Amino acid sequence: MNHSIMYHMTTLFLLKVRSMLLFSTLLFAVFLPQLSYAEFAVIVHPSNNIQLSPKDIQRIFLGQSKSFSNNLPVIPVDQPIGMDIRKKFSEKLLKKSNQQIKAYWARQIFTGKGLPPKELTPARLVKEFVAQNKNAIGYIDADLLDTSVKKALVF
Amino acid sequence: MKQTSQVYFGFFLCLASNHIALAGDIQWNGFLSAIGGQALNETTLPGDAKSEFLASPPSNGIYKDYLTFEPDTIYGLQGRADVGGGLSVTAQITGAGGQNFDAEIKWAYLSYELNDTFILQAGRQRTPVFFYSDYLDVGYAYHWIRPPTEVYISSNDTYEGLKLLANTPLNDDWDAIFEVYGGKSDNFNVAVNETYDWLNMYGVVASVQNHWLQLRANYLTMNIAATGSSWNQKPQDQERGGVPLQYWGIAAHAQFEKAFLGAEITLANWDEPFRADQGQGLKKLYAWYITAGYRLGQFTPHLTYGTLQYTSEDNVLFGGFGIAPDTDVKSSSWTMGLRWDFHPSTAFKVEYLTRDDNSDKNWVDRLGKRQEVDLISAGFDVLF
Repeated sequence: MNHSIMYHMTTLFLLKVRSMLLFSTLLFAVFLPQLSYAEFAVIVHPSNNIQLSPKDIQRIFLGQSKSFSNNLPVIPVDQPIGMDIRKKFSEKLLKKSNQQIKAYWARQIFTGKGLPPKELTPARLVKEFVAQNKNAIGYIDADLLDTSVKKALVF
Repeated sequence: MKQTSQVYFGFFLCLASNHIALAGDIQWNGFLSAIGGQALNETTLPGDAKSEFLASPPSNGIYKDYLTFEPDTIYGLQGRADVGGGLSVTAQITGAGGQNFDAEIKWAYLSYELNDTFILQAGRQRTPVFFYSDYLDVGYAYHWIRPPTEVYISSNDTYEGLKLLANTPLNDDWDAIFEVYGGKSDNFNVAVNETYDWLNMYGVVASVQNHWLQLRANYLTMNIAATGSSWNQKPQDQERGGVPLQYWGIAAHAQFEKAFLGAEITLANWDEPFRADQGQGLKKLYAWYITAGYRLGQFTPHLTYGTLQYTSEDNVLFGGFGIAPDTDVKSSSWTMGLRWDFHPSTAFKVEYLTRDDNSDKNWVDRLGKRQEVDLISAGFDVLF
């Protein structure tokens, strides 16, 4: 009898451990990818096979290069200043704060060196634009990724 | 110069209106600096005049012993039309308080992108003598209310001519920009009521930059000649071809995560004494500044030290002031300032500047400490 109770208790305990393990695995399965998966993805047209380094993307979005490495002209699409994702993108890839970005483009614009990329919002429009334009490059929330666009880099 | 402006304006209006008919796609951008200030602790000069603060040599914006909003206040409006095939037209009109906000065309040029590397520009452009020359009027683009006046003393801020720009990556981190330009500049200097002509001017600018450091070197050479309504005797008039003048400059700007550090040195040499003011002849100029700041959220406090030294002597043709040959005229200033980015496209700035005049005794005896003055100024820089 005692033995039987012990047996049941052990089984219960093991079950509990198992469910806890399962739960934590589930937790990992659900949350870990999001933690390491990142907040935004740089996207290009699905037909675009060019390898892009963070520096390439920086040069494109600062107007310093006007084509991909295979000479295909590039059309960058930005998201409006004030959007959270724009701030993250600018800080991470362009290494500039919102204010520095504003000042940078003021210098470029008023010295005739270039114009900032076109801005699109909401992100759905950025994805649609990139999906429909083989010259385009943009960035969206990693959650919005699907097969209509190709991810070039994920942060 | 007025006529030239009108011709340019007409030309660009034509191009612009043509373009409206074609595509209706003109990009408009503007900026405004609304700044007020007052000179403090002025020194009394011989003849009971007081020392003043010249804030903007191109527009002769001067702060005196009362609150004024004119010297640094300026607006600008720029239109750019892409004509297609790498060709674009840009015109920028500015109006400065020092010149009663009269609209003046500072930029009006055609730009042709030859390829990914080269851009050819033709027309009226900013003379890129100094690090901030290209965007001197766009206060939002830098931390001060105005770049240090010790270095930024040239009144010839525009020229008409050609410029070839080359922009090329050097490696994975560094980019290089080269500019070669040439032409003619004839900017009216209100302070001395005459036009300084920069004839046969040509120059080069080389800059390299990576994600945190920007380095720039420039060289400019020209023949400078003065033509003024009130001055008919011209020792350096256009017929003689002017006096050869060369500018050299180096500058660096380092941007760390929160802090920045910048410095610029400029040297100028006139082959013979050039009449800068009625009785004095300019020979050599040496100026530099160093600046540092730290970004604390929306606030950027900053500190700058600047110094200017030039060699002067009597301009014999105009009687002179009794200035001995090789007299050193020296001044230096400290500027403490704060930039507050309280809005995505507007910054509030406030600055206190204190300047000493350490000129040679024979200069001070005759002209006084003309540069010894403090200045308080504050205002807004807006982009639109």
